[in-house]
Amino acid sequence: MNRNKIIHIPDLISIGIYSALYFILVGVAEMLVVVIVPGYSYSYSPAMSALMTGAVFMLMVAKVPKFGAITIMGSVLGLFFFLSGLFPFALVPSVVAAVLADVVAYIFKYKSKIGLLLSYVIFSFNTTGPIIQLLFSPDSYVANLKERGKDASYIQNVFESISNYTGALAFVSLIIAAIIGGLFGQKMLKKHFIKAGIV
Amino acid sequence: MKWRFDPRTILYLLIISQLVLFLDGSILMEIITVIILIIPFFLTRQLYWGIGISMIYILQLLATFFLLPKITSPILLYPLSMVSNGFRELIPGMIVGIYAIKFTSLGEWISLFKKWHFPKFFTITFAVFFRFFPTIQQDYQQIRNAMAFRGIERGVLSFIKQPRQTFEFILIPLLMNASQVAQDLTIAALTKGLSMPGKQTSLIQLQMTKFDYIYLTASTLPLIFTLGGFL
Repeated sequence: MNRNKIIHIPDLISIGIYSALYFILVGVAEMLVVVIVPGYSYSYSPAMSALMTGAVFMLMVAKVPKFGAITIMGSVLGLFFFLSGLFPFALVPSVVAAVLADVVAYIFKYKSKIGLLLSYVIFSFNTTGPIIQLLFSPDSYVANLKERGKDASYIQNVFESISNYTGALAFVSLIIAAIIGGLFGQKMLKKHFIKAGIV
Repeated sequence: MKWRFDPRTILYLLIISQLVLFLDGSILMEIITVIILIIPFFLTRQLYWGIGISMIYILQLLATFFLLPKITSPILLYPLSMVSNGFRELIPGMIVGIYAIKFTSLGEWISLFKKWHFPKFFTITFAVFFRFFPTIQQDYQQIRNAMAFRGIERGVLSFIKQPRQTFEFILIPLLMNASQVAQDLTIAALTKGLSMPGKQTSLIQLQMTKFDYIYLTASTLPLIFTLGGFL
């Protein structure tokens, strides 16, 4: 392998910093969603964060066009979910999405705009870990409600209709938001960073 | 009283809290685990965290047992059951998370990772990641001040009126500065010999105290009792 294609310590430091920014943007996006949209809005937070983090992703890929950068950035988020104990199973989807996004970007040699956009759409799925857990394992809620004397079939109906409907909508909106966010990120990259000579 | 958990104990407590969530056993097991986990806050006089989390947990318990059975409308039921039931189950994990992030220094974690021979790409990214958070906060304040100085509208209204522009004005300086800091940190790290081959020593020596061992046993007891069928 070419020496320029291996990740070195300067690259690691860049990746760490962009990951921290990415992480904060995801946090802000989730907070915004919970505050702005009423009801069970948590499932739309990946869409919001996909909308906001495009510029960070594009800048990092432009700065560190090496295999492994996207993987580390995506895994950091999952690892935080795991380490903070909030959503331990969120580690798996985030790492899988990040590695897939890295492979796609690698095939396009980290240059092609459409390739990077596709990679970003796949990468956006790494925030869906907590949702997958909360949406697709409502059994514990059901069991808990049953203990409080609710009619079982009634609860089942409520939960199933809500979770199917929100699940599909959340993923469709996520893909649309990721495309918009990625295009926005590429535009910002061209408008500011290439002009300033940072990339 | 002044003592802190060894990072290894915190990792173990993390596994325990996840097992409690995963097993989804009786409510009694969960309450006992939370009580055991919350005691160190009071022993080390972190009353702010101790009382805060206890209050939240008690409110969630009350909501689960007294409020939820009375509500019939599904629109209200779903968010409320998520807050009081879903988030309540996450409380043990959150407590351990606070220990891991607030009450354990970055140096201790890095020292542990070095001891366990974690790969470099992991430790360096980890260290930079947490080192960078205070910088982001400072930068953000500076950007807000600069925006006010130039008479650019800011605050909640500007996000509604021109969300794209406001977002761009905040994000781009942050990213610019991040790129600069990345360069500075690289120079500092290479000067300190981070890229040198060979073993690197650590200033912090980790040691398990008797409190660590007490907690290792105490936190396991509720699980054992549940698996044994006592609770």
